[in-house]
Amino acid sequence: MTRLTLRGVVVLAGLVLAAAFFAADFAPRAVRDRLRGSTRSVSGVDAEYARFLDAVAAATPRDATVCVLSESRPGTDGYAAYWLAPRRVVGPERYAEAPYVAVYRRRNAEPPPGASAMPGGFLQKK
Amino acid sequence: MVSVLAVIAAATVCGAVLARVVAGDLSRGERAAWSVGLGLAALTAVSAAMMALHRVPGPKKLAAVAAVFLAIAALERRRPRHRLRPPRLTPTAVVLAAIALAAAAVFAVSAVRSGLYGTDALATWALKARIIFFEGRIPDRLFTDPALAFSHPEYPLLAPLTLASVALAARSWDAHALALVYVAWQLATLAAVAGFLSRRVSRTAGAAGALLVALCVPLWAPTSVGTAEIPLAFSMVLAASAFLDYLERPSGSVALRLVISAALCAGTKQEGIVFCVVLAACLVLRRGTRFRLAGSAALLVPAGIGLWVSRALVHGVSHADFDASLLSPSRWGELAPRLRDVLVHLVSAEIADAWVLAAGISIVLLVAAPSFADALVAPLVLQAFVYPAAAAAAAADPVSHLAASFGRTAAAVWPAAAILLVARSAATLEARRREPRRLPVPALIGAALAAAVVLPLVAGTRLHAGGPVTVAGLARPTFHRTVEPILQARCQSCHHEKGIAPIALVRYSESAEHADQVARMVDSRRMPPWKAAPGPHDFAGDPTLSWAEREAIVRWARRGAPEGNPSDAPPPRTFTGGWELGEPDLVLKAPRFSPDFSKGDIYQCFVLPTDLDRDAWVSAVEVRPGNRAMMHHALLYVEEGASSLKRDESAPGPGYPCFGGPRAPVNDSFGEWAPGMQPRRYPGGVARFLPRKSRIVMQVHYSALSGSVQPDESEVGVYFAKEPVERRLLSDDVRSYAPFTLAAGDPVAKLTGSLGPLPSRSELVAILPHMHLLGRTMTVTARLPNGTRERLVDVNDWDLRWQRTYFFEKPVVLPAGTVVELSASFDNSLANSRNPTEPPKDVHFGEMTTDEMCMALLFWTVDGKNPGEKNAFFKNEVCTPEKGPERK
Repeated sequence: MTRLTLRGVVVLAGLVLAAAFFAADFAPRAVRDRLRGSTRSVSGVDAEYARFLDAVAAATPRDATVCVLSESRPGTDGYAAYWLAPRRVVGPERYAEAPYVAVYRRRNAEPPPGASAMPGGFLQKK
Repeated sequence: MVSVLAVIAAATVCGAVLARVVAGDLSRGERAAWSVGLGLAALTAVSAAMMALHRVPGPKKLAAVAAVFLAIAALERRRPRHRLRPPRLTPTAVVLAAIALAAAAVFAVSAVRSGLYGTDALATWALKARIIFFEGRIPDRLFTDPALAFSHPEYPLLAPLTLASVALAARSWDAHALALVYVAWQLATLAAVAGFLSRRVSRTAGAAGALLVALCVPLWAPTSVGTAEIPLAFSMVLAASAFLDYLERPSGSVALRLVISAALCAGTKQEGIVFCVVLAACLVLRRGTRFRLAGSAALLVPAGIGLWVSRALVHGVSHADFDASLLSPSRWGELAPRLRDVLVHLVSAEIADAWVLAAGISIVLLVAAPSFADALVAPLVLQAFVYPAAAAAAAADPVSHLAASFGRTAAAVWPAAAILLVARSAATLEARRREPRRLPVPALIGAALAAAVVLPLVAGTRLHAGGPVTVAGLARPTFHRTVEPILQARCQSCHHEKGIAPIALVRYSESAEHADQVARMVDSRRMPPWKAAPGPHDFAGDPTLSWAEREAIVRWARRGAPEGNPSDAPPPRTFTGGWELGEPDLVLKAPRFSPDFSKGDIYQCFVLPTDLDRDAWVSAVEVRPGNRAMMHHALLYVEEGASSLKRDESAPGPGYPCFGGPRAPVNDSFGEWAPGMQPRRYPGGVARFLPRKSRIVMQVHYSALSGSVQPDESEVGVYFAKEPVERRLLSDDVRSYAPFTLAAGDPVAKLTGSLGPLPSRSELVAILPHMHLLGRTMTVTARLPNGTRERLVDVNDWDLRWQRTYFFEKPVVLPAGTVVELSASFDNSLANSRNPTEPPKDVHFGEMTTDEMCMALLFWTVDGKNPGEKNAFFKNEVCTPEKGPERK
């Protein structure tokens, strides 16, 4: 076995320090949550939103353009775009281009006339 | 899951055949890594070729291609190849490798469990993969649809294509199973690092390298599953090892590895292209290496092709992450301070952690013996510098941009850096046996002494001039040392026991109890409530937290909200209810009023006679709320007539109801109060005019949400000007071209308006944007006579509850001829929870809650205006739709 010199010890300590920087991010609780199948992902998308998007996907054709409106996720929501793909998902800026409007988490969950109720929101065909 | 695993395994078998050509003379670990890399790349290339030929690459077609390929490979005459004899396996290597594999197993299980949902970055990578999978082709809209601009159309497609190809071969999109692709890339990276170091150094070094890489949690965290960092790190390891091999023994096979690894780098991410260019540059500049130009070309050609393809595919879609114009020489002056901010953030915000990393790397580089891998120092340093440099050119706040992405992206460099560090460390241990060298003890002692002097100085440095957070305070935040000064300066004006905020944040116990909530609110920038975005002109009293303050609070909460030493606490802030500006010259008292919230919020106007027997000039106005808990805001107006008195007399009880305004012809506004608003004296020589015998009409909005039932008895403190008045504070408003209608259902109805041109030079002292419940954004801009535009205020998250007057730190000079322009957007859709009607109705201009307004009050002084003149510029002006202002 190689006998360590002081110089070698210092260098190995440097390696350990550098590794500790990255390893310090390890969070056993986060891993445990994941292994247990926590309902919330780290991006903050809750299970109800996923169910809402599932329902929207089931109610719209694959080539549809859907305007997803959600106060908690303003603008064009990348998560909705991913979930509803290959549908074209647009944000409020392109509201006029979308035949379908999916609204999530309205204060009053009661859908307006002509709209279909979805878990946590509703879907309206213009 | 099984089908995805089978596809990856089949691709790896095919890749192993290719690896015999590319990496046949490498170690076993490297061959395994190349097998995975080449297999997945080949699957992706075949799938892409089929898509180009308008064929959907299904499992049968891909299996047929693989079968043909393997048959040809089997027919090939086996040529004897030089195989490396594996170095001796040591117990240390076994232990290190076992830990590395255990770490890899944790990642694998959690990645598969999380699937591709772990990160918002899936909007960039997995979104494209999913679209390609479902459409069975690479649709043009990935590069041309403005609605997909957020997903970076200019990014290379290798990672999404690989995911889509595996999914197509497996015939299903299983986000959890597809995480296995990332597991495969990770294991391949470990194998590549371990194999290379085993071959060039020793098995122990290989295991140590694998361990260093496996412990890089930011890279292997499930949040990176679905992004391109993991394949990028893998590609960079292949390129770095090929680069080092080329330096030692340039040959055709090594050049081939350079070409392929460069293609993988360039196809995966822009940073990969940068890494290829950096490696090529270092290769060219390295004297004594044979075939330098050929090696550089091997790196540059794939990088160039990757760049060209990325640019060629994108049409008409731009992403606003970076502002390329900052790179033009005329804007270098702006770039420099942004770069400085980013670098300060790097060495300050992450101070404790970053110094650990810097210390570790510095020790290895300074103390360890030189090694063959030192050629990687320059490329890796340059590569690491790319991230802060790119962040400096971010379109928005450069520090936020860096903070959001630095950890993950910098970690992508780490596996390649591990090769360098382990090689140097091993060389040090090896040197002991060959030629023992003395430790540079004097240098170490000198460094330690220097650190002992410098560190305390740095630790006490404030991260922002005048800010409460020091470097040490951020490194180990405690309540009394770090958080309490921030709360005092930014939060406690509302968050004290009798304040309007629902919770107090004065004592440690109450702050610690709400630590998580506070951290969440400040991290999401919902608190402190300041709606004006940073612009070219600073506002006075801006409570917005600096990144250091925000980071300190978040870290404090994350670390369990430690109290720290009470002796570190600043003197407590007092909330005695006294006047902030000192004793006023005149105090106007509103009558005692108890609002009845049975029908919701109350807007009540109180008439406050001044009883002045002569005209007066006022240099400041302070409102002292009688019951902060329920007061939402108070607006003051000057009235010379008697309309308000008549209304007051005809209404029961004190004051009269007055939603929307004073409901009386008033001369001018006189001041305002809102939670968190600090009273201010006007700039020297500037004053408001208060005519003799005039009355102040105070409109107060009482919030039913407060739950308070205590009566209110507010007061207005008036401070007369003591200095000669040179300029009168006047007010005008810029508003939308009325009348307007906001169509029902429209989430982004836009209104514009303008005021001017100004007849003479003026100085804008303050600005007050105003909309109602549907307002979302408002921007007020000055179009100067030379055609340039200066943003005056930009509210991009309007909230009626948090309206306020924004005073400029220094009055903004507006030359004669300036036009003030207003642009605002409204959300009249179902998604706006403040929308008062459901389903939405067309909304018109008006003063009721269910109506809308779109205006910004401008408080300014005007050159050449006699201070005694009552009227501002445009008192007799009206605005008409689409035509702009006209004079009567």
